[in-house]
Amino acid sequence: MMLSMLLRIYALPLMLCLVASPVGAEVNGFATLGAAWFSNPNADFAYNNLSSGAGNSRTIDLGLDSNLGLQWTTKPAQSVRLTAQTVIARDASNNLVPSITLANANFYLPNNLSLLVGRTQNPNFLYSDVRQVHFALPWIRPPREVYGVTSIFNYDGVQASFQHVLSDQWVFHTNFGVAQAVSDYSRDAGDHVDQLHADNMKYMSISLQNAAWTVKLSYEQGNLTTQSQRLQDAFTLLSQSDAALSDRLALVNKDYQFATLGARYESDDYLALFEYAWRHLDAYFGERSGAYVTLGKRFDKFMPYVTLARTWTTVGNSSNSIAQQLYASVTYSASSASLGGSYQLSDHVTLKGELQVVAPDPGSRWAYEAYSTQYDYNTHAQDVLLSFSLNTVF
Amino acid sequence: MMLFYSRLLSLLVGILVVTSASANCWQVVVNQSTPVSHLSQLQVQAIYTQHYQVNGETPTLIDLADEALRTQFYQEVVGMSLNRWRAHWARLVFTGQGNPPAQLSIEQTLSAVQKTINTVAYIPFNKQVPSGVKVVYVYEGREGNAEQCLDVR
Repeated sequence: MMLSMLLRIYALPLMLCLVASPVGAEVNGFATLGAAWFSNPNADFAYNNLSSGAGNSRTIDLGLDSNLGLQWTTKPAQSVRLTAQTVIARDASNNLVPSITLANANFYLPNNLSLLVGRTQNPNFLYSDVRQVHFALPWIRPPREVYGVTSIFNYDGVQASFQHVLSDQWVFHTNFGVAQAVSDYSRDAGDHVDQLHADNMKYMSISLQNAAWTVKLSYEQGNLTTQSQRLQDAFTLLSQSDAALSDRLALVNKDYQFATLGARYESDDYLALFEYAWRHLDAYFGERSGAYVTLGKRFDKFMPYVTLARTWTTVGNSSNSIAQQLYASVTYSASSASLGGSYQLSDHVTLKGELQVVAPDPGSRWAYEAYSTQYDYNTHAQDVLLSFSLNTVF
Repeated sequence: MMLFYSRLLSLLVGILVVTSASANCWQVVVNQSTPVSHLSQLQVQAIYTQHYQVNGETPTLIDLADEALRTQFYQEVVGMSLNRWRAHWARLVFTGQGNPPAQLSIEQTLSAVQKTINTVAYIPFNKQVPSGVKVVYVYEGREGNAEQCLDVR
């Protein structure tokens, strides 16, 4: 956890260093200016670890996708690459703050082996390692139904990679890593920020790639602990009536397993994407799964696309009222359909727009954030999210 | 009127020259000292899209500064449009896996390959390769027929 804390403390100094980069280093960056409008005035559409968004908190939200990233890269030797990246974006407490998203040394070894030490981004999904580089994404943002199955993205540890050309058809990649991670979150629109600690993380992914196809399979396991006064109070109360149940449901050093399967077909004419994610956690969180399909057609610089996504949660049953509330608080089952388009304004600038219809299942309390007292959880709602973003890399 | 026709003729000749300067056949070249004698098209694709290693080291890549030629190389050999390639490289750059290739003229490209051992570049099919540079892959069009390759002046 020490590394994670240091990386937080040094985010701002790092950003200043990136701006005044030493000679010999390469500085790159990315930026997105986004705006989102949500039709439901009684809840916010939020994403990743954001605790508020458009809807109840504000009519139009500029913080859902907007960010600025700066990256510094240098190669002190032919086989070593040092990379540091910091991103300014809204955090769980609704503040615009820089955070360190990459800080690593990558050692290139013979036989297409490489060893990365330091902070890297979640490598398990097709686009999780560039989820904040909106220019590199086919959508405005990755579908929350799948990429929201986990909230851990900054991995601090060691990762080994290997790639090999198989016959004359496919390139094989594999990653194996051990890591730890800390992630901030808030369940009360940013008033209190809690932390999720992931330890003993072990992950592995394999992928096969050719000019058009990518097929990727990944698996991860580890332990999760949350530090939340609100939850601690709930479990103290629960333990007074059922100590065994309290121990079983508490999110303290509990095992989790996480797996993803992704496939991508991409040509100069078409884009087809499919991803499925599954996560099991030995606590009141239970099991969550998500899947989406995206189909796009390229017309030179313009690519319209459609995405259909679904997520579902399975939690336990209990007659205990506190346990019932805990289970209900993490229930998130919803479907969405999106129609979007991406237009390449210049070599380094894209304009994207997306209309998304979101339909949470009745009882889904984790579909949105910042609920007002008028929100009816039992209604089968259909809400509309309209988003635009201007994305660049430099 | 004569001036108009003269300019129109110049324009047409210019278009023809531009057209004939566009190759559909390519040579992938490396420094003579690089201990690699042959690459497959998939390996070239992997080198230009995934930072695949050559002889145990990640190579320095060179792109042609001429956008028309670059577009054709990526379209024909790498199998992706420049728009797709830009998004792809943004991904490599911002995951800390590499930087986009430097963009040089054909002459500068050959000079850079001559000087640096671990450099991979591409040049049009019928460009003469100077000493110190060797060809490790030849792309002879989709039909694989060198006679159909366009002449590059």
